[in-house]
Order: sequence, then structure tokens, then C-alpha cells
Amino acid sequence: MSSDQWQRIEDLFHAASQLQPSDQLDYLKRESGDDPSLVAEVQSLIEASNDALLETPAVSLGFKVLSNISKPGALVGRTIGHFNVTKLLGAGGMGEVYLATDQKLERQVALKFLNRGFGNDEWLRSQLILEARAVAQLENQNICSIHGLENEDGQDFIAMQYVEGETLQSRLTLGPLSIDLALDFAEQIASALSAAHEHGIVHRDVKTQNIIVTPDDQIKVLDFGLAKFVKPIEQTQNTTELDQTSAPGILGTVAYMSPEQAEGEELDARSDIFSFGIVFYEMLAGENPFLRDNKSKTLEAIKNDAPDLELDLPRQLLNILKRCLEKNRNLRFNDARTLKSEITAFRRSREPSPFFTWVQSRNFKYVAAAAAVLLVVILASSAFVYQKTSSVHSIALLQIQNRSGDANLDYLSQGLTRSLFDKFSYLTRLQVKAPSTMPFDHEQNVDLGRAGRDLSVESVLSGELLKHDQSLLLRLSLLDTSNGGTKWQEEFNLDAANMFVLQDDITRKVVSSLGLWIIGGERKRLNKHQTDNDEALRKYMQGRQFAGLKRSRENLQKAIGYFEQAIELDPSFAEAYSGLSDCYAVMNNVANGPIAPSVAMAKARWNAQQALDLDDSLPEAHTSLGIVNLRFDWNWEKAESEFKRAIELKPVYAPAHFWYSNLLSALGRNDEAIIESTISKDLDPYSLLAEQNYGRSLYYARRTTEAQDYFANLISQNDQFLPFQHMMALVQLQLGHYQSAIDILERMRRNDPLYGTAALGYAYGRAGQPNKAQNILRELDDASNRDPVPPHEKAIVYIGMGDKDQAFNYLNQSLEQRFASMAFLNADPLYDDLRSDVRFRELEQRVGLSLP
Amino acid sequence: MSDPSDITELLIRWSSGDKNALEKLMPLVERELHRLAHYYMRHEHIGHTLQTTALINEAFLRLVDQTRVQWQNRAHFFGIAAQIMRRVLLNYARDRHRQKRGGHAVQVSLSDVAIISDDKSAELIALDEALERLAEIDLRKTRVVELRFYGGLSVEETAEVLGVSTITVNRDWKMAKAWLSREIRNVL
Repeated sequence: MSSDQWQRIEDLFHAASQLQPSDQLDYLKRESGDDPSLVAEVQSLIEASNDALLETPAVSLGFKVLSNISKPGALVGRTIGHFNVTKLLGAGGMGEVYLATDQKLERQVALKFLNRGFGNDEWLRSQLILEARAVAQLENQNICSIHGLENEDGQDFIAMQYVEGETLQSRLTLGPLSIDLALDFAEQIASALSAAHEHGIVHRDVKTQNIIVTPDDQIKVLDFGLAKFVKPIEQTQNTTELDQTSAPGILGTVAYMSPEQAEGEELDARSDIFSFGIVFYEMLAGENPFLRDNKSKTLEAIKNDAPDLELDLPRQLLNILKRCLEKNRNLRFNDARTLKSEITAFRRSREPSPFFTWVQSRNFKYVAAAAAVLLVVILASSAFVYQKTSSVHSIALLQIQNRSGDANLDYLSQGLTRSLFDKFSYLTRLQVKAPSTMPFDHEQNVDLGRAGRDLSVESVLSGELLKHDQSLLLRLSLLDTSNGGTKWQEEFNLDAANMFVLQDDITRKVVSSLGLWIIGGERKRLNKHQTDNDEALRKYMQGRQFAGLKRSRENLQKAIGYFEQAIELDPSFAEAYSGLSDCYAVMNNVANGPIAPSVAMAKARWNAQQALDLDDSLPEAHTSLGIVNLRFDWNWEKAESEFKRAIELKPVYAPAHFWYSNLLSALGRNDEAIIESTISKDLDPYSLLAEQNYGRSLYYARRTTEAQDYFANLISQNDQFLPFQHMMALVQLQLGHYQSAIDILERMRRNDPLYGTAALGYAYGRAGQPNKAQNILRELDDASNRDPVPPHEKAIVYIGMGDKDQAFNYLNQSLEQRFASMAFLNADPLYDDLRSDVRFRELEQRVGLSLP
Repeated sequence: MSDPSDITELLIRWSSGDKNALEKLMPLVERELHRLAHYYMRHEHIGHTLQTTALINEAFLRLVDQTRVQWQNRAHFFGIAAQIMRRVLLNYARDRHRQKRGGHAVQVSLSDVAIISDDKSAELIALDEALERLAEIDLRKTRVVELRFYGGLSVEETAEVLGVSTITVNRDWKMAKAWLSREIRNVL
């Protein structure tokens, strides 16, 4: 069709549509020059124009589709059949496992879904059914049992026993197991595999991530997702329907594959034996014998390299390992049952003869003597245990210094410090002084001796990042403050380091250098990694770094960008959401960002909630939600319960105490506020914000002279940090020293025009210089042309000038827009002049601060 | 590459005619829409206050440095979002259609909880094909449909994106609707 023709059709269509239907035909005939095909064309268009097509935009449908394209954790919070999905337990290449409550039977179950996009739907479905059938056949206490194969809302999933515990992989991050424990675990794993092999099932994906260790050291083998039924050897030619399932590409985790699996050959039970051998080796030696820098090298090693068996282990045990890890499957154990009986036999050979047999074999005289010796040994060891367990060691962790010459690595030095502190804080017998988890802490150069004395700790851990011959090194030293000696020092190469392994390694070494050890419950919490994605963790660290720098728009924006990248990489990374929340929560003031409080807080709230949905036990997330309730919702009870929960979860989490003290100040509970701000400051001895916060809680408590002394002291140590100056000016105003306040504020303004403008206007008003106060008002107006200025800034100036009507006018505006400062209406001495006014009580009521 | 400043830069380049920029931009915008969609669906029960076009705007605010763009860039952003929605819906409808044709009554993943009925799927597929044909005759009308139907834009916003008057948008919309309806009638 030519564009002329098209144009003509369109013109006729529009013109004829305007006419009565009865007139349309005549008109069309006339205008088309009696062209019947043209008339028919236009008529058919007019007729079709009454169809309902396109009436509702598809955009909301599009969002529904988008939201249903699976993404890790997407099911949390949903109810599927009678299962209430509460938490994402794990997500891997193949699928996701959720924790859910079975509402019928009121018990917790794990639900396993397979990922779409991994293969075609039919293949996935058959895998799920296969797994369910495979496991359903196996009744073994070392295999996680299956409750059923479910189909709800058109989707299949497996409901299975929920086992609390950690994966063997995470257990091993703290180093190898003792021989006895490794044997115990190995026997249980072999028992599970043996049950499978007896039913003709090959697991095909035996690895440390698929083995759960319960708190009482029971083993549960998981994930028969790749399991395959195999026919007895003579029948393998005659493949059955079940047998034909083959996954696209190589399945199984590369580092635990058998040589035949790496070659893509047909697998039988002996492949599981090889993978088991790797797991067993790792339990004893602490490392995978074939793991190399990358996948292809690892595969090469599996196929060609002999495992390093020069281990300090009994010969018989080494023989078992060797037979599992033979490249030629004919040389391995035939199946798991034979393997298990070998392990059992070796375990028995290690058990000491029972005591009574020993007694029987000797006469009484020796027995008595021996008993006395035993008693001594028992007494001695219990004393030893007592002494060890009762000692609490105090340690200060100093900010790791970035001396690599690359400022881009600041995030790494700070992030490592922070996560090491997190790790240490879980150790009950270690009393840790934090470096700083709050902003403004990073450029401190601390003298170690002084630090140790100031903090009255027994040890100081310090570290630095260094560049050496192109390599990035982390040098850590543990200093004994009593004599200045070095207890431990080590360099770690960070070039290829996995952050998780590194942190666990450092924790273990520090703990053992202090003569402490990690006990059961602690290990579990230590091994809880925030994310399994190393890159996501690095992005998160970068986010925290920028959020922790001087709070400014640019830094907060950067931090937000990094947190979002971390979430992209791992959408179930709870702490990254919490980081985002914390950024948004402080963005609604002049200096931090031009976002309206409602927008900033909606984002803060959503992200905090997201973090909690992902991990309800995350102190950071509870703190974030508390901040939103404090600064925006003005829901004091909720805020308090969130802060308390965070503190309960992690008593050493300084930001929780910091923000809790703010809440208490707002509520006029000044004594408690001062206690909390003291705790926050102590936990965070190098945080300038925590210092400022303590002084501010004194100021809010009207302990003005104390506050003056305190800030004077701080400023004598650091005259660059503007918040100290600002607080000092406010204190001067309370003391009636207007000129002194003006001097401070004018000086500050030359450094940073965003700081303290309102206080300066107030000061001029009070000092009887209304013209200058008016100038400040104009400045605020000018500023508001560029960015929204919180209305209470102007209110404060009007209070100084004695204009209550205007002051209330602007305070009302700030309140309507829910600026965070309104939460401090009662606490802030700047509003004291207004308190007697009935309008102030109205404000208080609306913020929810007045007593009933 | 998901640094906001890069997205802003790409958007500015696309708005000024750089075709390569669009290719890089699409996946970034789609990821954000995906994320927001999850958020939206998850919190839908809390309140139905969120408008879906507001979500696209939200994506725009989050991805793009507001200080560096002009309203034309915003319009282009909406145009991109509309194209993404069109593709997402088409793929979904096709998947569904294929499954039905394959005779697999049982569905496998969550995405198959009937969001879109079979009839609607067939309609979406037919509509997309008709739009392809319309694009050969009158590209602007296709764009109008994309923006209004898939992007949820108002007449005024659509006019803004395409740089034409609202009268033109209204005329295009009316004609395109009639034409597409008739084409689809022939297929369905």
C-alpha cells in the first residue's frame, strides 16, 4: 500500500466516523469516487473501531509477568497450597529450597522447587519426580526424608524434612576435622550412599554443600536432584524411560566430579565413591585435593593429578582414601557398602579397649595405682578446662589501614575490618572493642600502644593492606598490650582470595593465637555467611564504605549504587538491603539529599523489610526498620522494639545503640539515652559521629555545661569535623553566648555552606541583629530554589527573631512533610520558646509525643 | 555497567539518536523493571496505591541521574520501557501457547500460575504480529500503540515522547485501534 493510499483511507475513516452511521455509506461512495474496495476498507475499519481491543493498557499485566519470572527468594511470603513459605534456605543453579510451615500439620518443612530456565520444562519436571521417587525409596536416617511430591497452583515441588544444621562445606571453613569426627561423618555419609546404591540409585552430586551436619553431629545427605536410577550392570544396555533423562551439559559441581563424570561418561555407584573420597579427604586435610584456580584446571586435575596423600594420617586411613580416589573406577571400592564397612572396621580398631577389660587383665594393686593416676589426670584436666573456659580475653580490633597506594581499595580495608569485628563479636569469650562501624572513622592513624592503653584491652589486632610486587597483601599483627610483644603475625595474599575463606581463616588463627577455641554454637554463627557471592560481598563492602564516609549526597548516592549492584548479584543478600535502607533513611535533609522524606522513607522502609523477609535474625535489618519508625513513622513503640531486638541479636552492634539513644532522647528518657549513647561510643571508639551523639544526648538532657566541656575537648582534638562545631554552637546558644555561637557558625559556613545556616539565623535573631537574620532567611529561600529546604530550618530562624506565627507556620509544613527532625520536637532546646504556646501542644500531639 | 551515571549517559545518547546505546540500555532497564515488579507484586496486598506507570517512573528515578537529563530523555525512557513490556508479554504468551499446543496440561513453574488466559495469550500474539505489519505501513502509529498500550502512557505523555501534538496522537490511536482490531478479527 502506498502512503498516499494509506493517508486517504485514514482521512476517510476519521471523516466518516464523525457522521451518523446512516450517512456514512453515501459519504464514502461520494468521496472515494465510487471505489468499492476503498469503501469496504473504510467501512470494515469503522466497524472494528468498536472492538474493545487495547482498552486496558497491558503495562500492569507486563509487571505481573515480570514479577513471576523466577528470581531467588521470589516465593517468600507466599502461601502455596497449605504451605506458608517463610524463608529462602538456599538457591543454586538447579533450584531453590525454601523453609515453609505446613499449616495442616503445623510443622516446618523444606520445599524444593526447580528453576525454570535450567532446562526445558519437561526435563525439569522429570528431574523433580525422579528425585522424589528416588528418595522416597530410601529409608535411612542419614538421608533427608521426603514428605511428598506436591502440585499446587500448577507447579510441582517436593516437600521434605527440614533439618536444622549447617552444610559440611561451611563447617569445614574453619579447618579440618579431628580424625574421629571425620570418621564418624564419613561413616554416616557412606551409610546414606549405601542405602541409595542398594536401590540402584546413584547420587551423582556428592559434595560438601549437599551434606548437612545437625547441631548434634548427625549427617543428612541432601539433594538427590541429579540422582539417576541405574539398572544392574547386565541390563544397562536396555535403557528404560527413567534412564533416559540426561541433563543439558555437565552436571554436578566440578570440584567433586569423578574422572568419568568429567569425561561425560556413563556413571555408576563408583562415581559416588570418588566424590565421597574428595569429601572425606577435605574433612581430614581441610582442602579439596583437586581444586585449582579455575574449572578447566580443576577438571584436568581430577582426570590426571594424583591426590597428595602425604598427610599425617594413619596408613590404613590413607589406604581408604587412596582406594576412593583411584582414577580407574575398577580399582575403587565397588559400592558404598564395602566402603562403609572399611571405615567402620578402621574406627573400631582405633577405639581403646574398654576399661573393665583392662582392669580384669591386671591385678588389684596396679588397678588402684592406675585409678589414682586417672583421678589426677581428670582433676588436672578439669582445672585446665575451667581456667580456659572462664577466661574472657579482651581485644581491640583496629581499622585495617590501606597502605596499598590505591584509594579504590579503601572499601576492602574497611569491609574486612568490619566483617572481622562481626566474626569476633560472636565469640563469647572474646570481648571485642570495635574499630568503627559508624561514619567518619577511616582516616585515623592510631598508635597501637595508646590504643591498647586507652581501651584497656589485653590484645590489639592491627592490619594493613600492602602492594608488594604487584600482589595485594594483608598483613595482620596481634599485639600483646601488657608487654608490647607480637603474639601472631601473618601475611595473606588477597589476589585470588575468597573473602569468606579468608575471614574464617583469620578468625581461626586469631582465636588460636589467643589460646581460645571456638565452641559448637559459636561455630554455627561464625559460619553463617552473609552471601555466597564473593563479588556481591565486595560490592556490599564498597557500599558500606561510601555510606560510612562523610555523609554527603555524593557518597550516599555511590553507596546506593554499590548496594544495588550487590543485590543484583545476589538478590537474597539481606544485609545489602539493610545498607540501602540506612542510606535512604538519612537522605532527607539539606546536606544529604534532595529527596522528599516520604520518598526516601518509603525506600528505606521497603529495603529494611526486604532484609527482614530474607533474614529475620539480622540485627542490621532490625536497626534499619527501627530508624524508619523513629525518623518517619514516629512509631516509638515499634522503633524501640526493633532497636531492642537488634541489640538482643547482637549486643555489640554499635549503630543499634546509636539510634536507640536517639529514640530515647526524642522521648525525653534522657538518662537511658545517655547510657545508650555511651555504649555506642564505647563500642565504636573511633567514630566521630558516636562521639557527637553522646554530646548531643547531654545537650538534649539540658546538661549544657557538661556538653560544653565535652565538645570543647573534642574540638581540641579535631577541629576539622563540622558536626562538633555545630553542636558547640548550639551549646553556646543555650548558654546565652550568642556572639560566640555566631563566630563558630560563620566560620563553619565558610567551609560548608550547607551546615548550620538555620542556627546562625537563630543566633542573629537572638543577638538582636534582625537584618542579618533576614539575610539568612533569604539565603534559605535561595537554596530552596535549588533543592527543597526543610521548612523547619526557617522556623528556627523565626524563633530566634521572636516571630512565633511564622515559626509555627513553617513547623507545620515540616510536620506535614514528615521531616525526621520533628521527632526531636520535645528534645530540642531550640524550640523551648514555643513550648508554652497551645499550638506547640498541637504539634506534639500530631507527632505523637504528648502524653495522654 | 549498572552505574547510574552510565545509564544516564546511554539514555542521553539514545535520545540523541545513537542506536547502539539502546541495545546496552534495554537489559539494564529490564533488570530494574524486573526488580520493581517483584516489589510491586509482593506488596500488592498492602495497598493498591501503586500505579504501574508510577513504577516505570520509579525505575526512571532510580536509574537516571535527574540533574543531567531533560524531559525528552524521560519520554525516551518510557518508550524503552514500553518496548520491553511488549517483548516480555509476547514471550510469555508464546511460551504459554507453545505449552498448550504441546499438550502439556501440567505446568511446571510458578510463572505458569495463570496470569494470562489462553485467549489473552492468543490475542497478544496476534496483536504483536499485526503491529509488525502496521509498522511497515505507518511506524508512528505502531509507536503510539506501544507507548499507550504497553507503556501505559497518557495521550499527553505519548505526544511528548513522539514530539507530535495530542491531536495527532488521538487520531493515530483511533486509526491504529480500528486497523489492529480488524486485522486481529481476521486471525482469531
